[in-house]
Amino acid sequence: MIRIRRGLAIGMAATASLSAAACSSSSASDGKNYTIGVLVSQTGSASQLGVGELRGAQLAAESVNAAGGIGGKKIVIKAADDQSKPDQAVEQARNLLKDKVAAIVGPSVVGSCKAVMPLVKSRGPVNYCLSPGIKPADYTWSASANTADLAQAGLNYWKTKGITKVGLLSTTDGSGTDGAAAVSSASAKLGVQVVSRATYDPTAVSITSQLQQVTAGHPQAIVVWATGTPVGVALKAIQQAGLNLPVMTTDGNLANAFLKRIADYTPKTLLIPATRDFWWQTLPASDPAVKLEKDYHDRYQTKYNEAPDFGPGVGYDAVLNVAAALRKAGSDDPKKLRSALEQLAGSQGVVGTYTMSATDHRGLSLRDVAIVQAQNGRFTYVGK
Amino acid sequence: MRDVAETVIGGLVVGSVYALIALGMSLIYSMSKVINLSQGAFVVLAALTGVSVQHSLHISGPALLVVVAVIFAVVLAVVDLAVIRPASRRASPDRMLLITVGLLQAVGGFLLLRWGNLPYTMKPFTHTAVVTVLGLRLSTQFFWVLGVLVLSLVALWLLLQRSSLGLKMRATAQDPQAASLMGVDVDKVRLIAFSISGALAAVAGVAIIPLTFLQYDTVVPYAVDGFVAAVLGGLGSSSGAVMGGLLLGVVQGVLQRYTNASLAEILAISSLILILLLRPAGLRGSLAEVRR
Repeated sequence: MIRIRRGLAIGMAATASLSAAACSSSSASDGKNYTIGVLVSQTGSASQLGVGELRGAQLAAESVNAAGGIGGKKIVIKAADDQSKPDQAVEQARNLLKDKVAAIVGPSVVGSCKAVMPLVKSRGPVNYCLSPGIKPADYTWSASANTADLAQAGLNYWKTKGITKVGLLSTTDGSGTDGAAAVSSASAKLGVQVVSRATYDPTAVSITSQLQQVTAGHPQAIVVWATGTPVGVALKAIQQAGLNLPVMTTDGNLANAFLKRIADYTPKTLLIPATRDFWWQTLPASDPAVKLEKDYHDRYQTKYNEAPDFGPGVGYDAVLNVAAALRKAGSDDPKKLRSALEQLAGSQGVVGTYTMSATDHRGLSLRDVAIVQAQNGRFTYVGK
Repeated sequence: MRDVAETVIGGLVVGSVYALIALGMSLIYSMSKVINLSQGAFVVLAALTGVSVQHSLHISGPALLVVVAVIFAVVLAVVDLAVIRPASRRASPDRMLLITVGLLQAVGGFLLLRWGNLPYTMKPFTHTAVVTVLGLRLSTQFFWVLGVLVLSLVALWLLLQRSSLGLKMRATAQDPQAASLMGVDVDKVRLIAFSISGALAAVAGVAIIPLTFLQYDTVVPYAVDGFVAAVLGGLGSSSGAVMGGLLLGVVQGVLQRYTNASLAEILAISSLILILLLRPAGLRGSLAEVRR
């Protein structure tokens, strides 16, 4: 009986606190400002991305506000942390929906984005997922270049260098599977042969066997389609096997912290297909993107005392694009905002130049991708 | 042929870590009937502790093995005193399993808090990282991992078979009540078993980290594979733990070499089920343990 009473008391307290929370939540976009919810992984396994994404989003809001805002209204960022967990992403997204934010920027990773998508599918608001790994539709957008373009850019670069036989190592998770399919498809299109392939679990601590499987096909170069630690494990295995082949990996590894971590095991040639924020300095001074890129990189460096990597760029552009759509729509009505965002054409961001449509909720293309090399703790442009 | 030999040696190296985890689990199980699923987590914790100690003290690989082994002998003794012993007086074995799962999660959480979500590694113990033996290209760290397993086995055998403490431990494993009536301090013997399992986790973690990258979320695969190795060998059997660990490592390596990773995982677990159907007590366990 005591247990039942205690349970009841807890239940009543929880109900009371929930009611209080519901009463206190009013519309966050209050007529004076537009509130954008930035739901990213500030803690947990994806925080390497999320922390930078939030910084990028805040920097973009500051930039828009400094230029007078949107029709006199300021952008206010309401940050939420999904702790790198899809269930928390859903919980936090629900809170942001209660707060009636104009748009949700985030989450950071595929799993959380897929978990949030159904919440906004029919009535919005616009949800700008910061992971490139989803197929955006309805009210959802996806940041950065798509996997097919990245794979094509990478293989095309190698083809120009005479490399036509590649080995493919990929992880068994969603990102690795998608990447492997994209490499296969791009290789067929470009006439590059995938001579051997092997998969490995993202938590594997040794992939010696898989590497042997890949080298058995005598490739001229190896693609490692994985992100983070599994790439480190693969690079270490490649070094231990004494292989001196060029290696290519994915844009998810365009992180300064990760580069430092693998410094002693980086192959002589480690290439990554990257968006414009990593090679903008190669553009002619007359290019319309140069001013925006310089301003973004300088301000980020000054504010955070480091160069921006993958996360800040996508966070910055997402807020910039939502702001442009708000300006065009003249309101934060979800339908109007979605329509305005779909009409964005030739809009400059730091990741690339965006041209959206009702069927293209990403807006970037192969022209926004070039190849950079991880070298001496930096990413250096090597070509297209 | 060379390809097969390299695959098998790679499998033996990974299997050595499973064997050391299974050895620690088996030792604890035989003394206290607790299946310590967190044993694999302590391997990763020890490895990252090793990285931090190495960063501060710049000591040699063998010295690092000793330092971290001592630290984790103390850590696991504290775990026994603070968690396992009080809990086992109140909880049934199935509840104890849950408690060790909780410990596994707690260690993973601590790793994330202390070392963040970045992967860690260390340079090989020997300056020459790779050697060629009989035409096979092998990492020198392979020899350290295999050597650590052999040394641990010899030390454990000497302790159990050639010392009075070992006699007490064997008596406790056989019948704790009878051992207690004969004047054996069973709690102390169990505390020592936990300390030894901590040292085993430590040497496994420190020896393997130069070959890979470890981080907070690698605790689960080690915990699962170590447990599979222990069951495969026969819980409570030291020789079985080693056989189970090495066999699992080689089977995984060979399957991963000739199939894809997902299929290899299914085939590895299927072969485990098949072995347990044919030998329910595992390779070296006793049926009495299974029926208990």
